[in-house]
Amino acid sequence: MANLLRSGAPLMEVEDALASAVANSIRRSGGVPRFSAVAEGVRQAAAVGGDGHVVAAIPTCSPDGVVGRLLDEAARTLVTTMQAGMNLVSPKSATELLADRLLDRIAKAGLDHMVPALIAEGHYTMSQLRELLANLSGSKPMADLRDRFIRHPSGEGLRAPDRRTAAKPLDELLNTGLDDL
Amino acid sequence: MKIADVTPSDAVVRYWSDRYPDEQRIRFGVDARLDGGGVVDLLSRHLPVVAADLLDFAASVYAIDRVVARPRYRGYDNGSDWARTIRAVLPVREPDRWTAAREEIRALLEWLTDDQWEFSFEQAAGKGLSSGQGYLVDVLADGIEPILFSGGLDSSAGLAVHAPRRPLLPVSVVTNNHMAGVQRDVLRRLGAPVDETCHARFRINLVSGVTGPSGRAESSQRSRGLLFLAVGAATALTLGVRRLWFCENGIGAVNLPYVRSQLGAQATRSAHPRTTAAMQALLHKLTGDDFTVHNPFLGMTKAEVVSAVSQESVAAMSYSVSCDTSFASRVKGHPRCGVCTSCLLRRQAVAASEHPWIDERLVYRKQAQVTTEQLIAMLWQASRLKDCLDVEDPWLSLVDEFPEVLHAAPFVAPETLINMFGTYTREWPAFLDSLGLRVDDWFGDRLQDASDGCHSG
Repeated sequence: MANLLRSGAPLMEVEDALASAVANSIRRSGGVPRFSAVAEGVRQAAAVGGDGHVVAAIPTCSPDGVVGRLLDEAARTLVTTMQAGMNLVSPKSATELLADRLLDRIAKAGLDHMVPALIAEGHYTMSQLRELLANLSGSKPMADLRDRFIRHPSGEGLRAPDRRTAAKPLDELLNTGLDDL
Repeated sequence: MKIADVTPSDAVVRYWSDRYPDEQRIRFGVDARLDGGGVVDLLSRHLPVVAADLLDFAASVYAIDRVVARPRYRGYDNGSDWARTIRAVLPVREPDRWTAAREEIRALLEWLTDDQWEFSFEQAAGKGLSSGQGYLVDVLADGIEPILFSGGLDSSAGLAVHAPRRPLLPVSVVTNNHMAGVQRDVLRRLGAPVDETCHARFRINLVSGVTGPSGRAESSQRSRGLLFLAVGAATALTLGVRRLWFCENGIGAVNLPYVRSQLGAQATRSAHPRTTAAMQALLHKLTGDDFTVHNPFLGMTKAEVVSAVSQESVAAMSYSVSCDTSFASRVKGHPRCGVCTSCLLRRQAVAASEHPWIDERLVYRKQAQVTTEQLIAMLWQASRLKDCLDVEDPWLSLVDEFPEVLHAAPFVAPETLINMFGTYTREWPAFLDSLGLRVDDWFGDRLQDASDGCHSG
């Protein structure tokens, strides 16, 4: 990812690579086999109410390791925001919301440690990088990966959406030799 | 009250870990040394048994923490974690008391180190309990309370601000002579009302041969916070008081990660309000009495802490040491690096304080520049903080961007945290100006040299 970002690759290519990296991380770490139970715990904890500052207990069915830590963060944050907004959601919505947050957190954990070097090397300004990371989190491949993760929470068989190939502009096709395409 | 001779400890600690499954041992007096001679000479020939066990317990955890290397980080691709699983058998004078507190111990250590700890307690050989009456040296003022003193800026400021108002006894952990020298120097320069001769020092050392098969210590040392709190609490219990002062600015105490790849205790939690709350809970369980760890700077930025120091005391602050590498060098007069996050936070705080001149005499080994990655990481965090605070519901935005802030919320009011982080972000331009650096549009563009003329100001 770092080299891809350094190279100034097109956004679509970076989006695909990120979704692939996140899928890879979930698959290798064993995912969250009881993800729907955690999401239901979040939903119930949020329904207890509160002033938005208090986080109710969330059932401890998180896995060990990095994904477990990130899931815990995502769950606590979601409970707080749901309590504050007094949002009562269906089990399906809670699962989707938590999956969104978890995948976003995994992506940012992986990307953020590159930030100081990318800025120090002059590839990006802070504002450019923040805009790029925001776009990556909200990309279509990440949304598709969210749905796939919900179907494969243990990570087994989880694959990122197929990489997309961008059609080259017509004038580029016409003016470029076949060997160079 | 039962009392015990405690120094030097001669305990033999046995432990197992996922890295070293076979039984390992740390022999105090041989592999490691815990010397509370300073406190015994100063306060009491004997310590309360619970205080003595607390010191042995904390020193044992610290020693194990140092010798068991964490798993090598291999990135997020395989979901690897830095946590360890450690089981230990510790000899204590009152095993039943400590066995009953295992849940409080687990909660404290898991939070502080990210590791899974499991303890068994056995009767210490040769109980060594004495029925003699401990005594307090009568030079200490009535009602004196211990205050943790590392020789860093915050603890020095704590003494400067609060010692004139009430009797406080500095308590230190010392691991090398350079550190001891810095602490003595700061106390001497603070002068009255802090008496350098009334300074409780606990020296702890590990023999280099026990710090792992390759001789290299585990450098993260996340249990240091426990060691500091334990020596402070043991001193308080010996003094017969139930309050320990622990001065750390709120930004450093809450210590939000600079980048989102820092997980859990990778951003140290030594002074976090949840750490002090967990320590209070452990002490309550051990003693049956309420105990308070008091941080008067919890809602303040470091710059506000510096500003709180009076003109009479502020010169002493420049003799304190904040650098992550300075004490490790063990060399007197070793210059601060100037670019570690601790150095940068101190420089930011001093520049934004009412005493921006106090560190003018200091020389740094490196200059902070536009390519200094630690500075970029701190600005990355500050810019994200600023964006969170500029919206309609700053608290929810803060929680969303920095989920770790939720750990502090039960102990510090969200409004206080919001105000503190707002002040912190506003303090940065003063420091960048002092470095000759600029960030156009407040972090919105490239960090650059102010003299290059590429910014609109």
